[in-house]
Parts: sequence; structure tokens; C-alpha cells
Amino acid sequence: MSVTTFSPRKAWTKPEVLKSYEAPGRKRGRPPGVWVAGDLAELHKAIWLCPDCDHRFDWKRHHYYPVYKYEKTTVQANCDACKAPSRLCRLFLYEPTVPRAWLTKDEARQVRQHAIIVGG
Amino acid sequence: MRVAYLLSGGVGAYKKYQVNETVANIGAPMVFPPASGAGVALATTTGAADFVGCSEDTVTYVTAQQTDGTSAERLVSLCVSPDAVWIALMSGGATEGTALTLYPVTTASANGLAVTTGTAWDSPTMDEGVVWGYDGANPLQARKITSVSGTAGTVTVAFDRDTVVGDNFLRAPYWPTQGATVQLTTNLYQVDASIAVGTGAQFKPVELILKDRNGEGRTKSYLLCMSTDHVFSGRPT
Repeated sequence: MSVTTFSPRKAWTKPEVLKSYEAPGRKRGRPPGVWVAGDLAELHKAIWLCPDCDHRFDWKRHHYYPVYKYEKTTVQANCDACKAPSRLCRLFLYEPTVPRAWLTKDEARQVRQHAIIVGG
Repeated sequence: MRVAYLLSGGVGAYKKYQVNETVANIGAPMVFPPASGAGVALATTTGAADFVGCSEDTVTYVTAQQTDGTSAERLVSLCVSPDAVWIALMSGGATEGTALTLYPVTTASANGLAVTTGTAWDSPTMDEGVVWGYDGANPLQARKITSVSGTAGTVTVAFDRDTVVGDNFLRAPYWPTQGATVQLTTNLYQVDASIAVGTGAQFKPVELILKDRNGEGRTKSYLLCMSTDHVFSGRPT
């Protein structure tokens, strides 16, 4: 006798679908230091760390730009080390990528000099 | 494109996503995964529906197990805030870094209401775009173009001084809060300001930063825009 299984249909929204593509973060059993300083920094990825974890990352050694330090701003994210969500996460960008990835305060000021700003 | 600020004034929300393809350029807009896709995908020059964010790093897409010990799961970092305002350099063509084209006045205007040049303003149409003085009598003055013809762009609010033959002007197909399209350059991290008004991907101009000769306006003018079709917006499609 065949068995028919009925499963409820759900209209998944795009944010729900997108959630499934979100990176799960550090793998189980992978030490935070190895994940951040090894896996992420080796690939020059953007790194965000909560205030409890950020002091453990040697950004100078890995040639990273500490956005929180020079730009005085944080981001909302799940910490790459402890996975805790925080709106005080500190963003680190690989230095050579900064001109294309982040508008620094100095540059933001510079682009508005000698300019007419429509809508500003 | 980079985050300039958030309309809400808060801090940006950042996430890492799996990718569907190699992302070779930082600042490239990424969109919702295509059907059967492995992750977020690159936008196109004319399409950014279900926008997620712009790449903060590069990534090489792989599908097979790796022999160097790295994971085949490749990630891209994105600012996913739907109210982010993105800043992009205006390019004078599809190739990044192309200088904006100068439009020298060939017939003077005695009332400052027309910029008559030897080139067409209606193809590609610049109607409802912006024209601003690069040098001459009206540097650093910007006006909205309200009608166009085969030889001139007309503004409703006059330039402060008459236009003079030889004065150079620049133009772009944007006006803040109007229009909902911005065409991207080939590698997606700048905007192509040479195309017609109303053409391009789903972004709305928020601010224009326009420069004259002293500010190297041909290569240092910027558009600030925000997505009109964000996957996390209050009106998901």
C-alpha cells in the first residue's frame, strides 16, 4: 500500500529564503582565533567583532583598517568570533580594500569641497 | 558603490552570504539568489531588483572540495541596511573612470535659460536630468533640465549669468528624489552618467555632488542613491 505524505505549503518570503544563504559563521569546533585571524583574514574578508572580542585581533599584523578606531562608528552584526549579535560590532577592513569599500570621514569631507550639492 | 550614510542615522547592518558567482570587484551590487542559485548574485548594469547590498570584499566562487584546506563555502560581506545611501562616482561611459563629456556652448543665451551646444540633448534624452556649469560665466551652478531638443537643453530656473559661447557645461541623467533608475558601469561599482534619463537599475538619486573645473568635475562628480527594490524593504516583492 502506498503512503501519501501531505506537507504544509508555506509561501516563503524573500528575506526568509535569503536567511538560508546567510553564512553560519565559525564552524563548530573551529577556534575563534583560527577562524578570524586565519580563515577570514587570510582571504582579506571584512571582519566584525563585538567589544568583548575585538581586542584579541591583531589588526596591525594582518594589515587591517579598524573602522571603529578611525571613523568612530560601529556596525550591527553577529560577531565573527563569538557569534553574538551586537550593534556595537567593530568593523575591520583589509587595508588595500578600504578606498573601494569604505567612505572615510576625510574623504566624505573632501568630495564635498569645491562642489555644488543638489539635494544635500 | 560605498555606503555614504544611513537615512535613519543609525549604524549599518552587516552580514556575510554565500555567493553564486565570483565577485571580482569591491562595491558591486549584489542581489537575491537566482532560481536554483547557490547564493547572492551580481546585479547587472540595468537590473538590481531584490538588492541586498554592495560587496565589501572580493570572493572566488568554487564548487568542488578544496585541496588547500579552505572551505568551498565562499562568502561575501554586505551592508544589508535598506535605508543605506550609496555613493558612486559618475563615469562618462560604460567603462569605469571615463571622464564626463564637456558640452561647450555654441550659441549664447541672453536669458540664461538654454544651454545650446553642437550635440543632441534629446538622444539620449537628458530631460529631467541636471546640467551644471564647468567653467565660464556659470561655474558651480546646477539646474534641472526641463526640456530638450536636438541642440539644446532648457532649464526653467535661469542660470545667474548669460551663457557665453565657449562656456563648458556638464550634464547627467539624475535629479534628486526624481526617477528611480541609475545605470551602472560594466564592473558595477560606478554609475554611467552618459545614458538617457529613466534607464538603468533600481536606484533613486538622493544627492548630487557636482564639481567644476577647479574641483575636477569631469572625474570627481558623485551620485548618492538608494535602492528602490531592496529585499529587506518594508514592501518585499
